[in-house]
Amino acid sequence: MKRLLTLCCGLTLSAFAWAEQTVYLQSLQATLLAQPRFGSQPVARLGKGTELTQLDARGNWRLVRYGEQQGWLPRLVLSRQPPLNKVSVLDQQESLQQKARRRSSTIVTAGAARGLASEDRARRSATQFANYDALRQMEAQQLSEDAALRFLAEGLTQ
Amino acid sequence: MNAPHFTPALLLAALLTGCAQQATQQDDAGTHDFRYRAPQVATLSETTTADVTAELEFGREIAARILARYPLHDDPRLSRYVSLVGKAVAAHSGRSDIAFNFAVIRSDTINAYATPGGYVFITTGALAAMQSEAELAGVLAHEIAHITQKHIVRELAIKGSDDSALSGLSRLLGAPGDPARVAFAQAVDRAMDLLFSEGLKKQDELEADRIGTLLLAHTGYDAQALHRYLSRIQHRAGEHTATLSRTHPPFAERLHTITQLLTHEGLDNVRNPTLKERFVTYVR
Repeated sequence: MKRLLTLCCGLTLSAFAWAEQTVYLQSLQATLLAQPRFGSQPVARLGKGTELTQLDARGNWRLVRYGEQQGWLPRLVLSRQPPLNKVSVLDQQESLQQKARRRSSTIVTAGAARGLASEDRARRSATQFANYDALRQMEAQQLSEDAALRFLAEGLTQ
Repeated sequence: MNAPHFTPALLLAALLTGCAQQATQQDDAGTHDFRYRAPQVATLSETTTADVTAELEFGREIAARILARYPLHDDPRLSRYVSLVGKAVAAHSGRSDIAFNFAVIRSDTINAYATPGGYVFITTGALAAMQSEAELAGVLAHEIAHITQKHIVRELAIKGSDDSALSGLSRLLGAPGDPARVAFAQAVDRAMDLLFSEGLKKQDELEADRIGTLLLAHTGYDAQALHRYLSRIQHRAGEHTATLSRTHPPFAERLHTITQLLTHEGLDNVRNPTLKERFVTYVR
């Protein structure tokens, strides 16, 4: 009887542990679907940070409650913590050149720490050369997510 | 409640909940892949802004090293196109806390690379082997999956204040003095070795294929596109696929993994657009 009581308590607590978790949408947008399968009827369109109640799980899909509605979302866009705001390091004070000089000395120090001969360190430094100008050029292409999603929509509705 | 029953009941509850989550992970894999890494189960560690900043700093350094190996391809219209496709896919991922950056690099090798923090590169050789925008999106989705799952950072296993993948990097960047800077430089070296010599763990590459395929479907592209692209390039064995073959699982295994997922999710019956014509106007 005692064992049965323990088992019942455990099963009950387990059920509560799995059900009714608060989760948050991590992606910029997602479509709540009526069924846990691609191509099923859309229920609602949700935005980043939407707070949801997770009710059930089936494979890669999670059943969630959003207000009065229920539907399925992919597991990969949900998390138990709210999403962070966009993080950037591009507006930091220290210039790239200063960082490059600091890293160059670090590479030499690292080489010495590994006991490399000076010739080996020079060769290694050459292959570890970093192109910060090209990096800046890559980062300069400031395309918004909205522009990307509009471009996607144009293509998908052709 | 009677205390002698409550404690074992709590332990049983915890065990059952853990088993249920693990069972779910096995279903998620589409195969009974018992190598599914434990941290993929919901982590209780909270990612902070400092953690993401550390990831970005680390990723930028690796990106700068990649750009020293391969020059940027000088075609602004093509670069913009690749960025638009990549950002649209990334907007459907779980990483809205970073701004993804995409670049085309000049190389005949068929490959793509991703660094922590959202830097994604695709070679001109890879673009030349593609036939549709969906295939481009599929390759970019695979790389985005490496970032969302923090494969490189986890592989480095830098000890932090908690078990989260990023707290170690955050601690490294925050620490003063030469030892921390040396450790950071060595971590960058190691990341480059993973990208260009050793490759990531097989389970990570297969996970990127699975999650990339799911991401492709959620974005609205034909979910079979990545499978189609890999099928095509597997027959181009030789110099241009040497790095890809060295750093990734065999093509047959990758294709089998993706096929299983497509069947499991019913995606083999869903016909989403491939956008072949739009791809040709930008790439050819």
